[in-house]
Amino acid sequence: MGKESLNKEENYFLAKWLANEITDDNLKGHISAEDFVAYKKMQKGIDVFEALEAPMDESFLKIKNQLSKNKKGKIIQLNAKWITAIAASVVLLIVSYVGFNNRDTVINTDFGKQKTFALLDGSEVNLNAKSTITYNKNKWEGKRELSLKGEAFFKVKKGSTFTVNTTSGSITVVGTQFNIKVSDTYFEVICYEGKVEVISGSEIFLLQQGEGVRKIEANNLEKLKQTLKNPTWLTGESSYHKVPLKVVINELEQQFGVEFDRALIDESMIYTGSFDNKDLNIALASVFKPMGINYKSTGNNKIELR
Amino acid sequence: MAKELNSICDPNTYESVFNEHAKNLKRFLYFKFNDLSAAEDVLQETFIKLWDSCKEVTLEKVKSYLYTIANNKFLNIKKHEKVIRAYEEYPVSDRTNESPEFLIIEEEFLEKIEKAIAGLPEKQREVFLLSRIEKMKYSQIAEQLSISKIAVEKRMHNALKSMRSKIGNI
Repeated sequence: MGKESLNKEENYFLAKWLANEITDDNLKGHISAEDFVAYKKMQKGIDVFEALEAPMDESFLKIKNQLSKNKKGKIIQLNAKWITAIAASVVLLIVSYVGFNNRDTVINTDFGKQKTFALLDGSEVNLNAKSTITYNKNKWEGKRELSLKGEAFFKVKKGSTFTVNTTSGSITVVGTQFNIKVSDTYFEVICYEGKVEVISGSEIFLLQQGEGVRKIEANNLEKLKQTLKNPTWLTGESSYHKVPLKVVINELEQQFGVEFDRALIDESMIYTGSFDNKDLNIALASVFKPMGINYKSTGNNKIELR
Repeated sequence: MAKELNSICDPNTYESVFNEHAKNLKRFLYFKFNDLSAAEDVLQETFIKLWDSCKEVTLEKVKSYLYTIANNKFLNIKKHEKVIRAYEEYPVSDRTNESPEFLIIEEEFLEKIEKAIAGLPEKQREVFLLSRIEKMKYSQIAEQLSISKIAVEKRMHNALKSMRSKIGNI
């Protein structure tokens, strides 16, 4: 009788047990005592196999960090004055170290700048203009989690889950490439490789390669299709498909550090197209000419639209 | 010129020495300590020591140098542990057969596991490796392979069962 129900529901108890979905005691109910000992040892063996097969990048990174610390050690003759000074600085160091350690790491870019850097696990981040990434180094090892304002393209190393928190939702992946753009009025996630889970409010989206979602102001999330291999901004171009002009103007402000006077135009017009991130004049022409909007510099990096 | 290029003091050479030997050295240390974190610590210390004496070590000798340093570090740690233990008021036995956390994984046993994994049918091995090496959940594997979660569990279950039978008596 017990065997019957076992076949229906818990057929694959070994898989469940290894994934910690059922307990040791539960497993004992299915197999002989001898088998239990064997599986328990196998489990440990598999753990060891995993640990020894894992890539060694992290170890190498730690060694490099240690070496760069050691470099500073030089031999100096000590006298009493020195000793006091050193003792004082050691105390200071410890205090500042404790303080520092709990502080978040912040990486940001200014108007018109981009930055590429590696995170502690080797994941790669391209940060677009006027964007900020914040994470905690100490918590990183247990939990790959960071927060983003602005726009960034991620190439995530495989491993534990990797979460990006934004004001418009959180994005969780395992190992993949994706782009996030987030501002007060616009939220967009595009998956370039692998799979990405987007949670925004009560909505959950699972994006496959070439899919994306976006949200304009308070509207609902809508799906996007995308055929490029990388976001265009990486090569110095911002491109848009059917977005309110407001979003594009905000981006121009971030890329060039200018300010627009928008009082005389309708910002809700829909724009499709792209602009160059290097030359302001070309960018202005390619955005506003097709829309029939005139622009005039009024000095001090201010531009009037009419 | 050629000598300089091959010097371990050159960061690129140093890194390639690491890439060539680190994994095996960690394995060697694991079977000495029976403890992964101790193996990792000594591995790092050993390579730091190698950098410090990079001028004295030639590329031909580097392997034996690494293993000698690692082994000495292991012996020192064990010696120190012995001293600590001697002063413990109530000596505690650190290994029992009942609690599986202290199960010792011998090198032969790990080799059996590795052989068993390598010998799994392709579909089972794929699921096994995605789960254990890539650390994916069964539901994620199901999605990636476009099969049901039950099918993933079945492959995993059968993989473990077949490994168990290949490993034999323990």
